Amino acid sequence: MKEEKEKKGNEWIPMKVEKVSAPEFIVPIGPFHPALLEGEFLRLKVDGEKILEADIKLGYNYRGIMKLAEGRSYWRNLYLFERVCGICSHAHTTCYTRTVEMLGEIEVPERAKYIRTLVAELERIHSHLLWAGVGMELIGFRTLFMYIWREREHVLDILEMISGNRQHYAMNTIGGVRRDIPKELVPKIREKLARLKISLEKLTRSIVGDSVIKRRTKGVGKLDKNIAKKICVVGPVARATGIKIDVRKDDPYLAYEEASFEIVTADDGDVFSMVAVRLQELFQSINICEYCLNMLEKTKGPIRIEVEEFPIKEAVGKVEAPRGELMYYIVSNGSNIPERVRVRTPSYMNDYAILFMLKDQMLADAPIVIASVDPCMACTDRAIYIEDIKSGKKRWESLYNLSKKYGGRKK
Amino acid sequence: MGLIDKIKEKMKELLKNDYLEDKSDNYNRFYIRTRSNRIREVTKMLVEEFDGRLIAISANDLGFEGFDLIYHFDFSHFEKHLHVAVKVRIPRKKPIVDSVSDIAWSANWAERELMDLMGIKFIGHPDPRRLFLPYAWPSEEVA
Repeated sequence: MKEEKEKKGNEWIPMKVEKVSAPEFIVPIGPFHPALLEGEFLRLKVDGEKILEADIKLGYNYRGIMKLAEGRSYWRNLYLFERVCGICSHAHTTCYTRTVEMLGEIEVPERAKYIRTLVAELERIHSHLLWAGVGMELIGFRTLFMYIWREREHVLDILEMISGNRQHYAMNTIGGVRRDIPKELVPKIREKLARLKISLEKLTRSIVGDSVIKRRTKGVGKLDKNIAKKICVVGPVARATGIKIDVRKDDPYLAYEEASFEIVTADDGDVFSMVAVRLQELFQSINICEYCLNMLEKTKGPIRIEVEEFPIKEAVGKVEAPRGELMYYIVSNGSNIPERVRVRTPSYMNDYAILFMLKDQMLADAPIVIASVDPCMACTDRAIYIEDIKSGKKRWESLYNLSKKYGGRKK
Repeated sequence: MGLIDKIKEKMKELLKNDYLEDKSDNYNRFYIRTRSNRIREVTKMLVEEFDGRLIAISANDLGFEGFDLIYHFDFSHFEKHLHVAVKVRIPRKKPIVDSVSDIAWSANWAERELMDLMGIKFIGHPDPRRLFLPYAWPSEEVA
């Protein structure tokens, strides 16, 4: 008997798990975003590895910027809207100033137009490169992430040369821009842009032509054109599905009416076409930048005009931010404080598309699909505050000198 | 005849006496006011017939006069700068309006946002949950 028991004890009995039909299971992602480290909460209903349905919850950053704007004067709102988003801060103030200028039917000076356009396009390049780097890292190309962000550093250098800041440029003011671009800077910017163009061509070739990236992104996260039309996606996401919309062409503002560029579109609506559209847009942006630099050399004159009155009126202003169409709607009551400001950011429309793109995808593809629309939670929640130390007028110049001294870059 | 004339003509035909106000500015923006019970018909016409994009809904708190709801329709992909804003006014004591999110899907989040922040109730919304506020936020029952 004893021997038998010992024998049984040594015997290996496999754990018996009954075969069950895979139940629907909910995978929570967030509130920390898997790709861009911002607050949003996704819930994915999965069957095994396949995503059946997705749901999104926003509001983890809500600070009520639209309400804040109703209690500040038009001038103080400028600083508020600069801080709606950390990446496309210039687009927000451009749209805000454009709408306020529409209230008073003000035309900004020519030189201010070119400076605004130049900074806006530089910002688009930096934003697209930032996205491309993060996207490549998500599908496992850490080296590409490093390479892309190295190129992005050139753009940030240019922006620092122009404004003194790498992120919040504070260039716009109602009726013009706050700083001029000195003539000595123009050739330097041009030189940097030329260098950037060469390296971007190399990068684009290696990304779009790479067979591994193609396999990882082609056919993944497909957004149907009809659905895209119904939910009114904007910007590169819309253009990647074949909808030809671009505020710069449809509702031209600043110098976009004169500058020549094309709307880049793709047909598939998958992650690959979103990558391709954004990369091709970089070259269009560089062309616009070069046009603005040429015009800056030719034009002279004031960079801002005085604005004092805001008549009782309402205005709708639209701007093509890096992520798509940005809309401001301002109602004025005749005082120096706006009655109502409505901010409709591009991510507000594009984030909705994530829910449709995630359907029938693999769970492992979820991060790149979520990141492919370039979601900007700060925009959607209108919240993130990036603290900036207030300084005097001469600050940007001294900062530039400082960066020249200690930045380790020799020119 | 431009696109906006066609839109206006059709809207007048549809709304008749409910076509209350018609404003425009030098930037090709048009502001048209109607009654709140006609908003579904107007949205259906502008989205399905004219292929407009409903890009935003905004609400304006007017104090005791109620709320102004502004539906922003974008037509700039057909004609440069063209933008039509349809306004409706709803009373403060009974802030109720028909939902349009089954006609224009892009209104879904905009209506949820207004439900959260302004307390306006959209009847027939397919997914009337909180968007920006926490799910457990106490709701104020209207009417």
